Amino acid sequence: MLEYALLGARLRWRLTRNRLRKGGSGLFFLGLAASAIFGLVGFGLFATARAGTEVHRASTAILGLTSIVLGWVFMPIVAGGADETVDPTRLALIPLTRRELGAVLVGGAVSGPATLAVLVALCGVIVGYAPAGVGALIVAAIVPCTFLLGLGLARLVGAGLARAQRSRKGRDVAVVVTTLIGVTLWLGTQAIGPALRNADDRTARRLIGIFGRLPTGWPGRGLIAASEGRLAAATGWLVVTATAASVALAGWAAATARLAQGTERVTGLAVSSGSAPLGTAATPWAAAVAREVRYLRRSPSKRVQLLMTTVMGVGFAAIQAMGARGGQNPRIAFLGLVSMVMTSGAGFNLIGWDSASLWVEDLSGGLTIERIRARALGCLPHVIVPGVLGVLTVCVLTGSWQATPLALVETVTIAMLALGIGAFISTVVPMPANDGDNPFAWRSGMGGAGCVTGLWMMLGVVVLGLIAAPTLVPLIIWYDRPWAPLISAAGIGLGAAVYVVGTQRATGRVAQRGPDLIAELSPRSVV
Amino acid sequence: MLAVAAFGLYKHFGPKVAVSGLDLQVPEGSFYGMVGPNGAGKTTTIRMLVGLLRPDGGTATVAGIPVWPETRPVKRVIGVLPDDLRLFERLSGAELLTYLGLMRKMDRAEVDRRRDELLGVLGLADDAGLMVADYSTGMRKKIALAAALLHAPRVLFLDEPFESVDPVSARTITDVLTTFRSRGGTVVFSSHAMDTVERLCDHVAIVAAGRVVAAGTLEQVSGGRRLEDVFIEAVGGQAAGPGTLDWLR
Repeated sequence: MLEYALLGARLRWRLTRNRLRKGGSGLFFLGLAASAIFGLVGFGLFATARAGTEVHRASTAILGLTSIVLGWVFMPIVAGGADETVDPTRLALIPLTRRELGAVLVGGAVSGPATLAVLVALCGVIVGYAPAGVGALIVAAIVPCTFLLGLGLARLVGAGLARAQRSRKGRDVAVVVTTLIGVTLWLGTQAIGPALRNADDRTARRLIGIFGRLPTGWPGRGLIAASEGRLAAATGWLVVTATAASVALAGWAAATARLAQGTERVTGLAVSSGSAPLGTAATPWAAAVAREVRYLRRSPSKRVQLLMTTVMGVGFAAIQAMGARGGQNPRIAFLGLVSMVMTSGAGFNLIGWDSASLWVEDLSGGLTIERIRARALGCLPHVIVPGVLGVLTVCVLTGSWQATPLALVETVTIAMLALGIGAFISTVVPMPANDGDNPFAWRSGMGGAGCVTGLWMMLGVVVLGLIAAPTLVPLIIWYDRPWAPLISAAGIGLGAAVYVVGTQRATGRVAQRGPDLIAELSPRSVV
Repeated sequence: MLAVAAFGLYKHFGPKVAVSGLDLQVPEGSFYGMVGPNGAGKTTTIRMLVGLLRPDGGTATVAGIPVWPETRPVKRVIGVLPDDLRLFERLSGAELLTYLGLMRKMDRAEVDRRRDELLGVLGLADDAGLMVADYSTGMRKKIALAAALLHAPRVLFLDEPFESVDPVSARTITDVLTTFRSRGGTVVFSSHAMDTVERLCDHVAIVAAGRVVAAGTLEQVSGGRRLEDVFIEAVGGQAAGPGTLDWLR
């Protein structure tokens, strides 16, 4: 079995090396550095828990280990960490027994840098929680059990997703559910820290109690029991953790076997009647908008992006509102607009999105102003929905509704500004973004190009803030004056002007550049 | 009158020269086949001729219109069926044709009429409401052909139109192309299938290592022999010797 596990490990490293050769070294080393930092910080966090209070030790053990396991499960999915060694269908034609296949996959699974970082972090609990005597052995045994629990759950979810992706409906449901879970967990980690810092011991104990009931909290309870000398209880938690890990690994093995034997299912369903395709569209502008509307409904990438921007934006605004002082000040409604800081970048890659089909547009008239404006408008929901819901959420949480209408109108202004600035930036650093059925997979590898695009996006948000400030700041100051709506109107005018000018400039920049953009963004279509 | 004329076309990708001084003359109204081994430069040549790939050297005209540097005029008179390229996957077949017709500033009623007729002729009427992403390879070829024909182009460029296509779909595509040509259109297509080229084409060019090594009417190029024999002779064939792979049972 060991030779098969080593084969899996070699396969994993060979794939990583090939990806490096293909030009993804920037991203790879970033990931390597992040893994190393994560491992060392995690080790330090657990190792120093001994010096903390009882509540601190308990929260570090239970919430810390829960975060690691859940992060291991969901981070690769939400962060686009497609791992080819997860997919057993690639090995389906090799005559391996179920155990041999399992060994290959385990070998591949445990040999990545992120996995090693988790192991390093987990080793910190031995320093932080191991008592003298037999209890130390129990703590030491909890480490591999937790590691296997995380590994099993992560691969079980991965295999489940891979299976779900064999049908379009399954794919759609899977990506939406996974996105919601992942983003909710992220928000949870953002909220739990401040909550623990501000809460009394009773609240903290309640949180620890809730998370301690989950399988991911069981190893933490074992650590606490062992460190307190309750050896029987510690042994019990060790056994249930080992059992949970075994169940997860067995589930992974079963899902893997089904994946290796399964076949692609036919999934096509009619999405429109043949009577009026694209509705009543009769002009290039109407056709371009109609296409964007349909993509909003049908593209998993678009749906996931909308979900992520909405949940993250609203969640971010809610966390700010909960932590803000002066909750009764009506101006706090404007705090909901911070959700748009996180989401305004949604329209900053109009050209690179779905660039594999750029050739179709180039042959049928090029990237005209209609297409650029329609693409920008296609991002409107991603920008404005989080803003509107962010404002409403803040108002609900604080009970302040006086400035709500003006704050809601301001979302339109910021959205128009974001789309105009985004259209221009889209032509400066377009990045190929696949519109595949799995929005989390980046098969081509980004090679660090996303970092440059990300920097431009940040610049765009700063510019957006500077342009919005002349109307937004007076509006916040004088929201209760009778002439405040005039400021709002001026803001909308400014936003519309930026949208018009931004899309015009964007069109001018891409005119006659069709073949060059195709070569840059969709090389598969020209080589 | 030449439908396509290319002189000294040259393109390299890094150190690899894909097309090396290629000359091509396609008579108007002809059914012109470009044959060549994998990597010969056929696809690269077609993409330079249709304005999707900027050549590093040489000139090209289609229907008397220079392709480069201003590519828009040429794109109004050509139709293109590329090999293995993404379409707008999340539009239905009918929506795709409608969208492309409107983008070419055609009248909506005319778009509807041509779309329905093309879908019917190509056997896609029942699947017109399916997303392109759900189409089979043959259906994708046919919807791409419909998209290429919708605006009634003068010259049609097809890259491996019959690859991975079942005989029924291949026959449908052939019938449509024959109709197109009978109305005065010019068809330029690349293929590996020698029998298809022999059956359909009146002109042929053999491309190897980025150059045209033989060109003319089918009779001129084949000289009364099978085109496959001429092709292998021109590009150089490699046969497995008697002692190789003798472990195969």
